[in-house]
Amino acid sequence: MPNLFFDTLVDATWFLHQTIIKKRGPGLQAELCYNDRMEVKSVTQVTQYIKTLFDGDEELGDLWVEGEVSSFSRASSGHCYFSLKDIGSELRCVMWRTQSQRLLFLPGQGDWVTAHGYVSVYERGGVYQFYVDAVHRRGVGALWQAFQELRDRLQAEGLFDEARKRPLPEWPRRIGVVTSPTGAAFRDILNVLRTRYALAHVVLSPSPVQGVLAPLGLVRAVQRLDELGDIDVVIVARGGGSPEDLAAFNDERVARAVAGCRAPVASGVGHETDFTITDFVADLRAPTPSAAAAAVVPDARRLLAQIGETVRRLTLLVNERIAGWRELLAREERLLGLHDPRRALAEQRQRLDDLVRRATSAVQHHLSLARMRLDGCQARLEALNPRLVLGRGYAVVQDKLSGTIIKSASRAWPGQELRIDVHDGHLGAKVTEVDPGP
Amino acid sequence: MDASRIESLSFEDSYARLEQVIQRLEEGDLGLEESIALYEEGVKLAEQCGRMLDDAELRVTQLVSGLEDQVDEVPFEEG
Repeated sequence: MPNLFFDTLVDATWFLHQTIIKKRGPGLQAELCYNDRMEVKSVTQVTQYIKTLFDGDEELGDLWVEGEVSSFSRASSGHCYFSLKDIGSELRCVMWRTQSQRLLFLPGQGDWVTAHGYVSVYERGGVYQFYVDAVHRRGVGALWQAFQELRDRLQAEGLFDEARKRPLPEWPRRIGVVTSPTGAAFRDILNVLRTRYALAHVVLSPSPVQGVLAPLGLVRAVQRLDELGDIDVVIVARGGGSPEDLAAFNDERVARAVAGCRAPVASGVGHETDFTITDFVADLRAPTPSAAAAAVVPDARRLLAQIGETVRRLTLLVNERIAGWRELLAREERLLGLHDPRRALAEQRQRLDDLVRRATSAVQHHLSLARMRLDGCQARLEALNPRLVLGRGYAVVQDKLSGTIIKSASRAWPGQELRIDVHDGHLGAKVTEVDPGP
Repeated sequence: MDASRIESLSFEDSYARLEQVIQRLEEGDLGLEESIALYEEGVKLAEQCGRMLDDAELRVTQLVSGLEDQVDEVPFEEG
């Protein structure tokens, strides 16, 4: 007994299969081939054709659209470019200068607006966009509001406090990187680390960085690094994108995982102007992935230059010191020379010679003085020599018997015998007369 | 610090020691022998630091989830 349900199922499958073959033409396995008879369109022709479809559509020619403003920018030409989006989709918008000048307010990120205009195709870019001629603000968009609410809540909780921020290590050995393995962010990070500090070891903890899987992926990636351990610092990064692309980094679960990470975390998400909740929670917020990489390691080139400079300074210092010692040594040598005992001996000998010389001359001086005094005495003595007077014709009269010198007539008497000394002998005489003078 | 101990130092330790050596030398209250020994150590450390930086090649590994939720670290293939 055949199973009716089974038969039907097989039939249905067979039918489906046949239909596919018919539609795709013969040879399901064969590649589609090009031949000369086929009509070929240029890219422009296709785009132009699509544009006629858009422009011929009444609905698209005049419509009001409600959505959240995102990526608003005003070019120097005055034209405004932005996106309108809701939870399901995104619409590229252009507003020409003439219309934007009439705006009562400038749409900002997160504004919930109603815009009027038409949808057409921008041929050069091959994209359709909404040509806006009027904008009314309806309030603040849900996405922006959610961001602000989360930010305020986590801030109140103290998750962004400066006191919570941990210093990054000066010399990280193992650097955990949470990002997409295929993204430009990771390539940028590796390039920066290679040029600045190739001593490091990068441990990639891969995760999708956008889409529905991104938040939990990022949470797991951070946790995996923690489980592995021995990580000195973590970089959480993603390249630039629209606010929606960065949404995962505004997810509360991701923010809490970053806050709970055992190693300090540096964030580099988007461009300079993008701020995400992850940035607020991170220990260091860098404006881009490259900047985050540069922030977590020292600059090896600068270090090398510093090392060279240091060695030069050291060499100079030591040479200077050695020169100083040499000078000191020379001075000591001079001092030592002064205390040479031989030198002292020679000096003593000289002093002795000196003394002897001085003594000799002193004695001689005395001698000559004595001699002079003696000579003086002799001269005086000579002057007093009575015999010298005798030479001039004087004579000395003495009593012959007593030898007394007779200086007065009163001492003489007649008949007295006298001895008379003259200069060359003596005479004997007798007093014949005494006549005392008047 | 003798040569073999210097060679066993990591980059960051070499650099830290180099800074120490310079500071000691700059204080200037050292004897001749000690100064020269420190100077030679400093030059050796500086050369070593430079060489380490020159020779370094960034190592990159990637975490993959292994069996039973354990984490494995494997070389990262750049493509």
